[in-house]
Amino acid sequence: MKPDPAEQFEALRRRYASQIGDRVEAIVTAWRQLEQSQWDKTVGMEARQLAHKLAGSAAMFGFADLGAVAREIDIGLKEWLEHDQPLDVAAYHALAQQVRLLQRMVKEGKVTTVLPESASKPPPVLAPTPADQPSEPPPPSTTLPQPLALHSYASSSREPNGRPHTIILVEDDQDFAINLSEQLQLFNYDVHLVNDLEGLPTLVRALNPAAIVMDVVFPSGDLAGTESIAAIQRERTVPVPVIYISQRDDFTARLAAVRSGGHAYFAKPVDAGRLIEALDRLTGVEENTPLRVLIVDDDPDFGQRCVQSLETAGMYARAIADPRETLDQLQTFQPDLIILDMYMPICSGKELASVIRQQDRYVGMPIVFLSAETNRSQQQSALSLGADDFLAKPITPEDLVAAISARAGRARYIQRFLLRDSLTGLLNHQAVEEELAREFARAERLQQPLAIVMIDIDHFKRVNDRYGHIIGDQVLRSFARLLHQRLRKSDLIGRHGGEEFLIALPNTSVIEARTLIDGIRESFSALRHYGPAGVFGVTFSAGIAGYPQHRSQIGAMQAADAALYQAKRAGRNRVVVDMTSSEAPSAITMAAIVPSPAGQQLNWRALIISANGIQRRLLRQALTEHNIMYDVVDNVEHALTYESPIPPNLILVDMTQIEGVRTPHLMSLRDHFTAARIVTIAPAAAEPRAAATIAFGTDDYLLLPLAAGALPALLDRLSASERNAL
Amino acid sequence: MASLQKILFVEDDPDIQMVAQLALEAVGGYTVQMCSSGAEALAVAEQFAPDLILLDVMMPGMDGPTTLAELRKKPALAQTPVIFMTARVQRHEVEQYLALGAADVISKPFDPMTLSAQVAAIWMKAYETRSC
Repeated sequence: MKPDPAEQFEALRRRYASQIGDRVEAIVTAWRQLEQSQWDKTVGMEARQLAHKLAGSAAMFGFADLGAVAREIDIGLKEWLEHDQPLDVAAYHALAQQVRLLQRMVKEGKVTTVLPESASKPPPVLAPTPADQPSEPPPPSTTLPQPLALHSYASSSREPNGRPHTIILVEDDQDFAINLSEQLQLFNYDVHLVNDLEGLPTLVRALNPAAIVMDVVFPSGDLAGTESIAAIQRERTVPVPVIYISQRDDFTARLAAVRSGGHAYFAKPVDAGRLIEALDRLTGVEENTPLRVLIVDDDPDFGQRCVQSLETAGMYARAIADPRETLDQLQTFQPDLIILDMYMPICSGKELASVIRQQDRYVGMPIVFLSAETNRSQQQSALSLGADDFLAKPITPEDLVAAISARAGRARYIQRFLLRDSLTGLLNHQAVEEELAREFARAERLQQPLAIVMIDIDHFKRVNDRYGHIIGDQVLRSFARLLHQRLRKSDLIGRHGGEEFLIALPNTSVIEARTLIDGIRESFSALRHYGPAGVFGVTFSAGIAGYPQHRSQIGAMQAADAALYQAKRAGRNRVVVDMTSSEAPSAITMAAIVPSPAGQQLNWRALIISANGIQRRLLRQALTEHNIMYDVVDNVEHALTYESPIPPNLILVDMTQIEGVRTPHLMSLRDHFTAARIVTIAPAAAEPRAAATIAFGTDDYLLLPLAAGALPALLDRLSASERNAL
Repeated sequence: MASLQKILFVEDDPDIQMVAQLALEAVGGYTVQMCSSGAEALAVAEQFAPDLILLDVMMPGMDGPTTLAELRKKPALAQTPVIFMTARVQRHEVEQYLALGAADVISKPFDPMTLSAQVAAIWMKAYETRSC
């Protein structure tokens, strides 16, 4: 009998999985040799080849995240090999980090959880260790498994909002298509516009889009769109999500759409907000972070097995054996639910539950007891002490996962319900102010700036009056979505009142915040909303204030509010930064008088002094992004003979050119560019040395690779000291 | 009517070769000739006379586009549909590859269970285009 191909694939996959450790080890060894060889290109080529191979094949066998890390190494080494430059320190650190990540992924068993030997190890029943009974191995899987556990790495290394999703938009009406794709791009979708059905199958194969948005009526046939989608879906095991848009709103068209595997159907005119909502849902943009579960059990083996079962089901779990660590863990791990063993040597589960419940903030924390206890009265007494449920050992992994995920999910939902505004899903008035207090304390502790933004939708009452509350609500929702897309996960976004929003941006100066919010303002004003009386646009005004200009939360909020008021008075659809500080006599009146931010008035013209290609590229990028004019020279000598109609007032100099025996270079620069600020450029790892250059006469230093907002923060500092000097 | 029977698969990674072999032989029922480099493909292609060629874009030595250009110089292979396989492809690259004369582009990693169906659909389309 011919073997089943799926089983053969599974065998291949297992074989591949069993070799992953060796493959990664080979890359690590090659990397070490590369370090020892003083960056010999031949050794580098070998290392790259190994990474390239792993990158190419890992995803094929279901280890997509491992492959992605290998791909980063592959690309990093390729860049170095192709440029005739020594490996840049920043690039070196990035590469070394990826190599360590590969190692860790293997070592921590994130890869081996799907390895074949697992078939013989974990018993299917989670029983306390002593009562462990011999058990049958789980049945062999006939499908290609998805290694869930690996996922966490990719998402943790990525930026909060991640890479844009690729969308293919199939639409023959040019104007409508361009308009819609512009709107989608505002929401961080990478849109590929296709005018006809001709090249669609190829494009779908090649781009592997997160979704297709398609017009159903095409000249080539009444329902050609659905037919062509049906053909595409037949080729795939996992269908592409498809959203249809159509002139037609009849039953036949809708039925054809459903039959071809369409996921949603919109009749024209399409409300972009609702379409994007549907896309977010289909592409998983909506927040769906794994549930977190803490297990306290004095039997570490049992705890570990619980962790495994829960993590295989996509949750984050952590087990501790010492109940005394519980409170620390509650704070650092922040679980959605906690599982307690009934009987532990140090304290019983019941006592521990009481300790947890005595703290206000954990009153709502779901607690589940897990124990071999079968005595009903004992169970009852546990429940009366504030446990939410009682699960009896032994329990199968399936039952454990089912019981825990249902309870933790519900708890999170309720939590969300309590903290979130039901219309927009943003934090509600009370929650945002509480969180803001926390952020304020943190900014103070870490001595980091914090920007607070008050936003009010312009003439919102008119929208409601003219188009009705339903349309008004749609506007609010699409604004909330835009904020979500554009801001970081660590930023607080709250609905403060009817059409008023409160945002807090940690580690962000008010000037940076202005750039950011102004970008959002532009996007929002470009957004089209659809009402019964036609298409319309809406704008907003914003006021920004922050720490350390204001030392109290109330002061900062009042100042932001005053700045918002000023923006409204100046004609709306604009962003105003508060320029008062808490030292000033009256923050509120000052905001209205002081005209504009002084920090932005300085017109920077930069001169980069560096022979390091990567350094130059990073700086050029950053300066261009911030609209700062610049020029580049190789070394200090060239800088001293550099001539320009307008002399530079910002010198960015590679640390290696002014350090040690080259310190006199710095004096020469100082003498030559009397009106300029001099800033040392150094790799992040060399921060102490970079900071030391200030003692020799530089004004500041900048670390590469640039952290988000590092350049504007630097300019802010320089402008501030400029003002003080005046 | 002609049918798709013989496939030349050019890919330097032995692991991907194994998956592809299974995908095309066991699932699709095609006769597959594996090659590990562009040079090897050029050496065996005429004799094997494939109905379709799957060609990896990124290979050490001779890359996919160069191999395609060389294959096209051989009269017997001038018309054989060629599919490029590549990871991380951009749309303008797809257009470039098509302009080079590729029948289609498949992104890696591919799904081994459906690779045969994809290949068959592409071949059918290329065949129809050629005969009309």
